[in-house]
Amino acid sequence: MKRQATQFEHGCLEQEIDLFLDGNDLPLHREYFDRHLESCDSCRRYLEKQAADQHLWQEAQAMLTDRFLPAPAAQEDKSEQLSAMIKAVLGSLPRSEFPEHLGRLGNHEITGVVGSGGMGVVLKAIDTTLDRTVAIKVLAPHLANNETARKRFSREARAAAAVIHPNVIPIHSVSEDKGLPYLTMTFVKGGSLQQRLVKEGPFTPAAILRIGAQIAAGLGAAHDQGLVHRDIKPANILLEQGVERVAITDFGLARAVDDASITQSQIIAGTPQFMSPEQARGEAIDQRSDLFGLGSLLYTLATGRPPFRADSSYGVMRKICDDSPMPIRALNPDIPDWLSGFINKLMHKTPAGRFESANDVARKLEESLAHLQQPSANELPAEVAALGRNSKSKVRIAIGLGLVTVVLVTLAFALIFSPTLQKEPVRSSAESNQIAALIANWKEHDPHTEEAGQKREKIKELHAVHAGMPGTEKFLEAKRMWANELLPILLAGVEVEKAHFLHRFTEPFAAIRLADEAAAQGQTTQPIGWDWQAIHMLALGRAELLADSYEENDLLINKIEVNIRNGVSPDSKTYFLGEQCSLQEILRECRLHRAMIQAIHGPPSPGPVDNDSNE
Amino acid sequence: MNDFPETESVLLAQIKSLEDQQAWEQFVSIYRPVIMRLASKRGMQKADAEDLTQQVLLSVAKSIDRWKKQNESVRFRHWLHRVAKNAIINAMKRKPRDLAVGGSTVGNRLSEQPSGKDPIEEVELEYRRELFLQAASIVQGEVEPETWQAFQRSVIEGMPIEKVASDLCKSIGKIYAARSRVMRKLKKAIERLELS
Repeated sequence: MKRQATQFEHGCLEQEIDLFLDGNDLPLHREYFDRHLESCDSCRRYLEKQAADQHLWQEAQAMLTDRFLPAPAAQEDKSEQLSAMIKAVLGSLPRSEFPEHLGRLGNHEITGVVGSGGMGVVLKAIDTTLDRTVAIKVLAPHLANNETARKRFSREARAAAAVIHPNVIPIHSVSEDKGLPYLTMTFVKGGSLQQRLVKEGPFTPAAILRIGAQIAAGLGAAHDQGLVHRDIKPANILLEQGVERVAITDFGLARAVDDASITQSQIIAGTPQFMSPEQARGEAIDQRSDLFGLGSLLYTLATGRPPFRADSSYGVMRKICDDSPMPIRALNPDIPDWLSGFINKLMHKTPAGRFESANDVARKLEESLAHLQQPSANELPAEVAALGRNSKSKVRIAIGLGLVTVVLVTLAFALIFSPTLQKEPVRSSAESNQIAALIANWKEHDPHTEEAGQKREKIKELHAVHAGMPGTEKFLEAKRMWANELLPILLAGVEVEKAHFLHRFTEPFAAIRLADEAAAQGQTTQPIGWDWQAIHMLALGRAELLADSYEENDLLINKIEVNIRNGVSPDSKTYFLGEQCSLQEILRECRLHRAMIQAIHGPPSPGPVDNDSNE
Repeated sequence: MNDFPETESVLLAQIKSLEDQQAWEQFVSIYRPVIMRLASKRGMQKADAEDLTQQVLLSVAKSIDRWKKQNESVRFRHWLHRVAKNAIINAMKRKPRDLAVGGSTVGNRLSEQPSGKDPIEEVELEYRRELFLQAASIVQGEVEPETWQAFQRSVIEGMPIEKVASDLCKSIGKIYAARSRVMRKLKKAIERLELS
């Protein structure tokens, strides 16, 4: 089919089509109309295009499917698939002589199900010869049917059984019963790190260091034997007694899954959230891939959430390869900067940028833990201390709403706008002093009082006097002056109700909107008022108008992205909030803002909707 | 908070202009199902979802007063939409939804909730869905059952046109004509709902 503009031929019905769609009578016989459509491709296309845009057709299908076609949610599929797997495994087991048991496997009486995952099912069992409780991992039936996967499972499990280390779960045996490969391991009562994280939220720095050092030590022992774990994640770390001792499970088994074609079982193949970039790209990996996994795991312990999140596996993998996660300290300010720097180094995109080895990591984490516990007696290792200094330098804008405490470096007090608008820095003048005094006065008052109402009126009046007509030179200058006074208040944090009043003064002016529109058409635009827009975003954010803040942010992101796409160098610099910043850097700030909005957990009430109380 | 119907009529009475009253009713009829759906997607029980819906609508209604005092330059309908979006997003922030996933116990898997979705996009999406659903039921009542079937089967269910034609004993040309006409009506109905 040709994908060009519609080519009408003699006898085509474009005028009739328009009449028809509008519900008018046709000047010709309806039969003729239908018959023509029977064979004329151009008219069909024209008809559909005139009826509605292509995207609306698609949207109609997507939006109406639920009502007219009851489709089960994907989520249900997933758990169904898992329970189906458990059933399949249990169903294939020989019956036990004890009615209360679920089945038998070799010398084991199966007494319960511990869990299931991408690779198979974990069962609780009694080893009848030794009379002890063990955990049995049975390879999932769809993998057991795959020759390569089955062999790999047994081989990797045997290799893992050779690792003897307190922080690695011991594997007792690797066997096969009626074509079903399984391995027996020590049964651990404490549950996984994942379960604890879900139950109790982020860990303290000391716990992170202790757990990290132990995992690194366990990894070190395995790495020494040439093994790579490939799937370090909270669910694969088991807690023995409280958090005092942790042990790694499932060494190398992820590989068995990789071998089988995963596509058929995509849904249960597990999340790629803890993959390294080289793994996500399908490249060759070595022991350093586990260091990335360890970094992602520690990030998760520190912040309560995995570093890279997206709706699809593909989205997660793209982020792993291309994005930097949100700074740890923006999510949990209790984490010392050196620890955040340490985790960042583990999560370096290239293996060479990470630490030398797992043993090296274990040693450094132990020394850091000793420092944390007794700072006077133990110095922080110099290399670790240096990691903190690196991560400190970057100024972050605290666009988050109250709950995100971000380190604010004092911004240059003159707010310098883009070169095209800015001729000289804003001076401190009598006028700006007047604004500052009025605002300071207003800020002290409870927003619900009559007095506060009067102050607000005064501020509005003063603003009107200063700003004059939009579009004039004076207007821009006044706006700059006001923004200059408002920025510190917004950055320092201001009550929602007050922010509602303030965001009206940061409303983007016409030139910014024109640029937004031009960018929406794909045109390159001058960096006009970008930081202005950023201040507005901030004000909207403080006012909890998240959707508006988000939209404003998207407009700015779009302008920058369009410019870059049109050939403006991402490294070219412009003034942004008092600093020379590259487009890349500004973009990163904006994306951070976006991520923050998405990540915010707010108060339990629907919250104030529109709080410009105006008595 | 089970006095909502009453509350609603009281609030409605506060809205003086007829145009705005219609806007409010329209607004409630679209947003109520939107909020209910968002809530049940988060695993809320029906009663809790209803509570949440009330909370959001109440908090929107409460601020109508303020709109009257200072925002009358903004059209009521636009203002409602904006305020509602923010209220829903605020309401949805109640549950921690960002815990790590990837656990391997059955319990974890089963209790996993759809999360990680951008709340703003989600609200927009559900709003669009409601527009489409309402528009579809309007259009369905306006056209012949066979005309609607042509649209439902070939567009919504994605069946090949030839099959739809033979199932309904119509020519292919007629199916093309019918479904395009429904699509146009649907488009107009959505536009009307958005503008009303």
